[in-house]
Amino acid sequence: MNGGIVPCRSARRLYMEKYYRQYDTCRQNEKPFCSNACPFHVDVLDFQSRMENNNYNAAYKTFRNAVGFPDIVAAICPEYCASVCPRGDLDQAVQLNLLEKTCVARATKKEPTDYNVPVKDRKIAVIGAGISGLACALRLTQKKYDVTIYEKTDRLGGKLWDLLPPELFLEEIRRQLQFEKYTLRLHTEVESIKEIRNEGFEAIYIATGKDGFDFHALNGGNGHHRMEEEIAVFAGGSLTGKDPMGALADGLDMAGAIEVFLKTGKREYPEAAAPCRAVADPDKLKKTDAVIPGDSGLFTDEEAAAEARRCIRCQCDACMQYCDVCAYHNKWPMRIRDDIMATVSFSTSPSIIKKTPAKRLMNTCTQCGLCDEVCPENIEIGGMLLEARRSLHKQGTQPGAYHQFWLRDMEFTNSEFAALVRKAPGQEQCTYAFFPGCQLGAADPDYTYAPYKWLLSQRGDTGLLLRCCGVPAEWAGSEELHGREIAALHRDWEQLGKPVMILACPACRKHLMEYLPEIETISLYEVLDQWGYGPNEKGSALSEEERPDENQLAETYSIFDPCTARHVASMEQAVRNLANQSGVILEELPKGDMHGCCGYGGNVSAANADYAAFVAQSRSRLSENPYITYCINCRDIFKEEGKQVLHILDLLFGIKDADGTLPSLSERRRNRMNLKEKLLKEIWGEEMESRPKQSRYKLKFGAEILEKMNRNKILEEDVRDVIEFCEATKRRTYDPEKNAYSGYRESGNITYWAEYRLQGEEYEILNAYTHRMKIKLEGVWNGRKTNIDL
Amino acid sequence: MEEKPTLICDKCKVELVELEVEFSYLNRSFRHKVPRCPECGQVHIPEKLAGGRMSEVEKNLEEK
Repeated sequence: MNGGIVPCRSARRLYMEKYYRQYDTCRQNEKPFCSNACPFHVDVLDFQSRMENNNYNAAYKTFRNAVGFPDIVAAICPEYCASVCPRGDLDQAVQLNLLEKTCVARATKKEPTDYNVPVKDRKIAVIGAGISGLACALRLTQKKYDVTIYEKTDRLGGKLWDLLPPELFLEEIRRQLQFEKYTLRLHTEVESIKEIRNEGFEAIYIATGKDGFDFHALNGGNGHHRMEEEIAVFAGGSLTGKDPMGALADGLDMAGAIEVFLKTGKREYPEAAAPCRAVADPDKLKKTDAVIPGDSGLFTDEEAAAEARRCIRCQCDACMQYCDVCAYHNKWPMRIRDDIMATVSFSTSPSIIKKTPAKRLMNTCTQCGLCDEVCPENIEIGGMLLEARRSLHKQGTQPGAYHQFWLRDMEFTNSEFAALVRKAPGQEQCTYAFFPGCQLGAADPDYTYAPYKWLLSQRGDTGLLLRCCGVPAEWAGSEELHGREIAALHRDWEQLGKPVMILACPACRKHLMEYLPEIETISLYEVLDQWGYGPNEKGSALSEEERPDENQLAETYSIFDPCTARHVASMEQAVRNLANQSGVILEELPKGDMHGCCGYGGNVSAANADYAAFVAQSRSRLSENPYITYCINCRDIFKEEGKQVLHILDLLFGIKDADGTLPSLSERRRNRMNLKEKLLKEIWGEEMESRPKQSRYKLKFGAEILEKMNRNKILEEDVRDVIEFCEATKRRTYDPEKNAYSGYRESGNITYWAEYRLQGEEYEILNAYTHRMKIKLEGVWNGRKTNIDL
Repeated sequence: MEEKPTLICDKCKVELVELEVEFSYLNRSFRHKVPRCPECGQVHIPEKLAGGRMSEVEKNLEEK
């Protein structure tokens, strides 16, 4: 048992560091396959989104930024990208070159920008005015370095004369270099560095073309470069065996390498691209035929947009697709990581400048665990978010109101009013014990009562344990409380004689397996399946009028596997077997069990109700079919959403859904007490002795106000506490216009307000609301302070 | 200007007046004028304030 161990501060930091380091391999910034294969690494994602909108001028800028001479590249690029495009295997690779050709033909603003950059007094020589040398000169002159180009012939362009009409490339070279100053020495063959050593050059780029002289720079170091006295000599382009596109790209890259040398004195030869680690999303890859351009050989606006749309924008974004936290907040995991680290580091800082941007965000994770499953690097975003909650809790800066409701709910479930640890009647030993979880009986006592009665009919020594598994404490980040809960659960299990626990709630099962691995568990559904629960037994535990109308059942259902049952094949299969036997037609969801939580997990709705609704809606739309699920929280959340849904126990035991509405939060508490009472009476023949003290005030709630209270997680007990307090102390205000009183009571991290009116013996509740701030006046009323002007 | 409804402190039987009250949340304190009994200090926070401005400030502080 490790639930009771609370890590010390330094261990806490190590946990955070472990999660932090996982992001080192995050592939968020990985280039798409096409960009990676492209010698220029064109930003294809950006280019395509602009082409899709027919924004040719913007697309042209993106293209030019990468290639230097767009018209030349569009004309002769052999489309390296086509061979790596994932579309290639399905229909036809996206025709990027055709899109580039369309782009340069349709763009109307092709003049380069004349940047006002200070002139730099650093001299660089470029030997060879072919495409590679010119590209290097272009980049360096744009940054206002003093560049001299030496060319042994009488013309610019080198190899381009063999490939393109001269008017095309000469015009393009003129256009792109029109604002830049450089010295051009035609008819000047340089045969050794010594010849130009006295010109004051700090670096020289050798681009003498295929079979040209290399000035002994080829393979001079880690790449093609060497030092000649104080001058750095880099070689590239066709001289190093590259094709024209590679040569052009080399020139651009070498300008960067030369700049690094000028700034730092280091010679860093550009490295070849590493293998691509992007991941194509197969879901986006739907067969779409390539767009064939008309006679002009170029795309029309519509065709360009259609072809750009064929690009599925490959990048590693499974997290953004699957993780609700990433999707809802529109934040990539690395950004979340940074926000978390800032929050954990600064949350105790008194400065209001240091923001803790992820306090709420970390409390919205449902802990469904899908993030690391879909991530090719298995980065545990959820693990980090939970660890961050623990850190904040330890620091005392976790907003208590986020989890107060569920922690109190857990406290009630484990109180004498609802908890029960019993061996089966007349039995000394339990081989098995039924552990239904805290929410099953709260939704309807029959969910627990009916299966337990059946289990007893099969195995007379099946014990019962009613309590909460303690997961709300874990979700709240409170390790101390969680440790106590786990220890208490362990004690109860020992008291029962260490039976195999039959669990109805997949979340309890997952939680127990993690924190109490010594307890052998099996799901209720596997037991029902294996012990031979048959359709003819339907409703056997319930009386005739308690059974539902069979005609209300739909025919076809989709199975919604709770996130906590993901990959638990035995449980998933058992539920399918049981449902099939019940005569309904089952369909799988499009992605089977690969989906997140229904929105209940992590107890997130107090931290961000809109987020919880977003998650619930996303899950309820996975299929038009009604769902069958086997987590009562999923059932409740979907029902709340208006989605037609059954718990598998509805189908098996015919639990009657009286008016189709969910019990209120207060009714859920009463259901837990009623369940305990019913079980004690029916199974053990005992009367329940402990019930909460009845209030002396008779409260009257309208339906509307109850609905509002439920929405805002205000229990009838909370309002009762306010009234009792106000009436006992007379600390209340009177509104003569409404003939109503109003008062409040602080309870933990929440202040509850109630407006009420006296009607004879009854207290009619007119309104109830809460806030999280504390009113600092307690000292005055308690007589500790006399100065009321605090 | 909209006239504020009269509220009476049930203990002191006097009208509540707009007075500054100190609030605190997540280790930060601030003051705001709310209806308050000038004698015993009993306050009244209308739902509009609790669900509006207060809730906004709470949300902001939760991210500060």
